[in-house]
Amino acid sequence: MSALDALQGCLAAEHAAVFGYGIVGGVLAGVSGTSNLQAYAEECYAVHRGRRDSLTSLVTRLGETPVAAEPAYRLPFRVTGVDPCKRLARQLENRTAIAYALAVAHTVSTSRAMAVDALTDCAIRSADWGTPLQALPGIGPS
Amino acid sequence: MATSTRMSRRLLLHGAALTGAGIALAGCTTSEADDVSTPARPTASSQEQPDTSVGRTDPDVDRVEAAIASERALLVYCRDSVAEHPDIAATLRQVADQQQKHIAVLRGALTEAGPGRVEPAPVMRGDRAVLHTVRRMLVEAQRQRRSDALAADSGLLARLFASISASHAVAAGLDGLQA
Repeated sequence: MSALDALQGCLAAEHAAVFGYGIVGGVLAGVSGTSNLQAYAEECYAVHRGRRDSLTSLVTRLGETPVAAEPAYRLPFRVTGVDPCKRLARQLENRTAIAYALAVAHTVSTSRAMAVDALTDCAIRSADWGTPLQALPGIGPS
Repeated sequence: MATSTRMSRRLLLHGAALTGAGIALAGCTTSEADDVSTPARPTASSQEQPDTSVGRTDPDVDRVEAAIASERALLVYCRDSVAEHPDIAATLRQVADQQQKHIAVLRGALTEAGPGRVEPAPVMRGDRAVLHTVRRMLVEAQRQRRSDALAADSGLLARLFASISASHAVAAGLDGLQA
C-alpha cells in the first residue's frame, strides 16, 4: 500500500462517515429530548465533512483523482432510534480510526501528523458515543 | 546496562512504510512531496549489524524503551494508589488495565525487553489529588506518544504509538478523572 492509497482510504472512510452522520442527525431530529445528541451529531458531521474536504484537496494536489463517495451506502442495521444512532456513530468513528491508523503507518511528515491527530479525534468521538475504553484504538481489540 | 545487550535489542515492527518513486507530484508543496516519496525503512533481514565501535543504537528501539518506562510509571502509580483509595479504585484499575496492554504490545515490538525498572511516584494523599495526578500523567503520556508517532522511522511503530496516544486522550477524559 502506498501513502496515496492510505490517504484515499481515509477519504473513502470520511465519505461514509459524512453519509452516516447525515442519517444519525436525521433520525435524532425526529426524537424528542435529544437536543444535546443532535448538536453533537451535527458537530461530528461538520468535523468529518471538513476532513473529507481537506483530504480531497490533498489527494488532488498530489496528482491523483480523489476517490468519490459511493452513490449510496448500505446501513449495517436499521437506524430508527437513539440506541441504533449511537451504535452507527460508534461504527463510523471506529472505521475512520482504522483508516487513519493505516495512514499513520504509510505516511510521514505533515500527512502523518494529520493522520495521528485524526485517529485521536475519532477515538475520542467513539468514546463519546459509548465505546468502552480501548487500549489500541484503530488497531486491535480493547 | 551492558552496551552489547542494548545493541542486540532489535525492533520487530519494520515495514509498512512509504511509497516508492514514480508518483506524479505536480502542483504539490515540498512537504507534501516528502510525505509520499520518502524511501521505505530497511527490513530486519536487510539491516546491517550495528557498528559496535561507535556505539550506535536504533532510535526506534530507544523510543520503545523510553515509552515502556513511561507507561510503566503510570501503571505503577495507579496500582500503588488503589489500596489507599478504595473510592476511586475502579477508575484506577481501568487505567492500569490499559497500561498493562500498552506495555505488553510495546515489549512485543522488541526482540527482547529490557529490565524496565521504574521508580514509583509518591502517592498523593486525597482522592482528588490522585485523580489529578493520573490525569496529568495521561495527558503527558498522550503528548509523548504523539511525538513518538511523528518521529518513528518504522511506520508500523508509528501506528502503534499513535494508537496508544489516542487511548491516553480518551482515558484522560474519563468521567472518574474529572475531579
